[in-house]
Amino acid sequence: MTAIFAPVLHGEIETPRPLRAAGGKIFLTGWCLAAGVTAAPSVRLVTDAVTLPMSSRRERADVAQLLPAEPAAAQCGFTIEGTLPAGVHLARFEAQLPGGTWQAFKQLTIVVEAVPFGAVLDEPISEGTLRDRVKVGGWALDPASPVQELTLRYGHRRIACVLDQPRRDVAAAFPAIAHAPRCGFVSEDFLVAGHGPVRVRARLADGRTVISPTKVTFRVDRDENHEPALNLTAARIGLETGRRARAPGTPKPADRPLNILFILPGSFASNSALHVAALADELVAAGHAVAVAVAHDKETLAHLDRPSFRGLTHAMAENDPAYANKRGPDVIHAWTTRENVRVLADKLRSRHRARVIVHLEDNEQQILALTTGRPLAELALLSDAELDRLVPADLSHPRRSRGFLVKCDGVTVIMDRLREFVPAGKPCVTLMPAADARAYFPRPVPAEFRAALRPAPGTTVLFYHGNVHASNAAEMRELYAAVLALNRAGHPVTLIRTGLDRVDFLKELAGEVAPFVLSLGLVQHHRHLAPLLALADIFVQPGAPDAFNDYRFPSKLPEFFAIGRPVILPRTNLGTAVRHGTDAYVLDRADAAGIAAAVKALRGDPALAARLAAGAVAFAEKHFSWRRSAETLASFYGTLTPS
Amino acid sequence: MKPDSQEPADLLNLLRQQLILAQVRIMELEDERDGLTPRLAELTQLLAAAQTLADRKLDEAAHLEKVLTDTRAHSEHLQALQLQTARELVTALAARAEAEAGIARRQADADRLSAELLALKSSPSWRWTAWLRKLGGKQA
Repeated sequence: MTAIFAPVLHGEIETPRPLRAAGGKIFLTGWCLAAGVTAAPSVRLVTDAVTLPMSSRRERADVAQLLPAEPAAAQCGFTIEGTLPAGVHLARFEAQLPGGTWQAFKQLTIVVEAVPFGAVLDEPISEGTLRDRVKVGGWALDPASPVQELTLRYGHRRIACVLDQPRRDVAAAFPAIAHAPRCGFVSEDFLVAGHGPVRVRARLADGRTVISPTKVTFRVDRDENHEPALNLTAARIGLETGRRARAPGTPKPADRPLNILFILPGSFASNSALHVAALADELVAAGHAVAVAVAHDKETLAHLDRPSFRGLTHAMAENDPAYANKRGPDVIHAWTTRENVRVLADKLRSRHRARVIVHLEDNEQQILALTTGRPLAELALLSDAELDRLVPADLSHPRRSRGFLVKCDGVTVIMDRLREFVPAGKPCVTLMPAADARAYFPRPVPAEFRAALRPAPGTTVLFYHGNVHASNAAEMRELYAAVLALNRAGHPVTLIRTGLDRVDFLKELAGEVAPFVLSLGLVQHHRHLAPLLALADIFVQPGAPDAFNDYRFPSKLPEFFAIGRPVILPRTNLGTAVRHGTDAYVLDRADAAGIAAAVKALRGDPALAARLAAGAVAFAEKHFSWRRSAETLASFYGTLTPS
Repeated sequence: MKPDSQEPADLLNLLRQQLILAQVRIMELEDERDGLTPRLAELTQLLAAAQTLADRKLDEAAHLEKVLTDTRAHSEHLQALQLQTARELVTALAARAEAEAGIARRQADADRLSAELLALKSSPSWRWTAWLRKLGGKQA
């Protein structure tokens, strides 16, 4: 018997790798020869779906130079061109041997992108600018699925189209696509006023929505609903004025990185969460490992601006609060004494032997009294069992919260007055809140946008962001009453408001004040509020000294000060620390009459307004900094944790 | 809870409200775009890296296949050699066995002859004829 030896194949694919086929089309180049054989072999590309033959032969003087002994080297170049189905293919490049058999000389992967949805507008024009109010038509084709609904979009317009129009030309061009013969469309109506390049947007039978640009631009200036004076080609007026925040720089690295767990009573969509997130980001930047556990709605983490810490639910924190170093938390920072926070902190403290620090930001008992509608004295008389039934998980239990504070290792407070609730001798530090410097910085009024709102001449814009709940309902009513009084007195004032109304605080006032209020509802991302705040001339924090206000720090105040406008506020909490006439406009009581008088005074004295705007920025720069607050907090942790 | 955004009292206020909310929506969409653009680039990069890795593994597999083919050929050659050697060994072993049998036979003959010689020399006649062999000049 005579043995047949196959010649050795030499070859390479020279198309840059990784091989990609946009829209299914592939074009490959390479070379291949069989050692000692006179003619270069035929080449083909074999995939699981399709086999593509060699498209052309190319001369390869370079290969001949490299392999002078090979007779076929000079003509061994080839190209392969064709179409492949979408997907990732394992491609075998094979050469035909003199005996007729095929043998692989190379294997590669090819990623083939699906043939995209394509649409052409060709009636009455296929490219250029159309200015006439006519009906238009074209075709739209997706290789995988028929079109079910189609609209043309241009400028601010959306025009519906009738489908299922015959297109023999398209069918001839795409014979393999069954739905190609009836892929034509025409607009339901004549074009209406609008300017801009035309896009075809379609909903397909398989549920996808696809968009295709066209080569046509519509420039229709007017129709029966648009006055010729309405300029549809004007540039968009935006809120942003182009001013940018200063880069914050890098914080000092931590000497002893800690595992830190913050426990919040609510979700990430709360003011408390903004404070925790700002501190957590700073602590992470300094080298600590930080996780933040929320009671519910963990997905609200997406509301925060680029969080660098780990977001958890209470359940996740209870089951696995493990950090990268496989240890548990060194510090548990219970954000308030709310029941759901206290319970989790107690469980984790015993398991991880962590230091527990409690943060106070409100007069918790006053909030309980306001929320339940029962005076403090009455609550104090209730039995433990009655209190257990009455106090929900997201409020503080009058007795258990005291025990929690006694047992904890340290306390942080948002303002000094809250130290009254800290057990004697307990380590305590004040954490001054701040504004997110990435969004809240001095911003000029976006004059063009303000003008586009067409305010009445001399209008003063006030801005208030925040929810209305039982605790602040009365003072918010005062703010609205001030707005109404000012307008009635001939001083046009508009209040722009964001946030939710959790109680009906306006009652009969609602109808009267409505023309002077723009309620925007909930703005999900706090950073988006900053450009809206810039619309304001004056910021007002309503309220008066009382058991609620004396023990809290309205978290919007640092944001008011950072934007750079006069701030009117009552002589309570921060109002006791600012200088009237220099840093802010301080009222003994920021009630309707006081607010109205202050607004009038500021509008009547532009120099005072300018001075207070500058004073607000100066005060913010001096007193509000998350970087400084985080450094204070890290030092506090250091004093409480064993080294 | 009251609705998120109250219906403005007049059309101008509605327009103002919608204008501001449109700005908010634009900011949200800009955030989405700014988040998706790097993500798309990252995924494209990941796909390219995965494909490059797969191609490298295919090259390695092809190389290993070639090594396997060569090794198989070498193995087959060694097996043939081993078979040939085994055959020769069998022949050699048979020859050795035959030779050893011959040696054994010859040894037996030698032993037998030695015994016969010893018996002869121990016989009375050998002893009695010793003087004769002495006369002949031969040692006993």
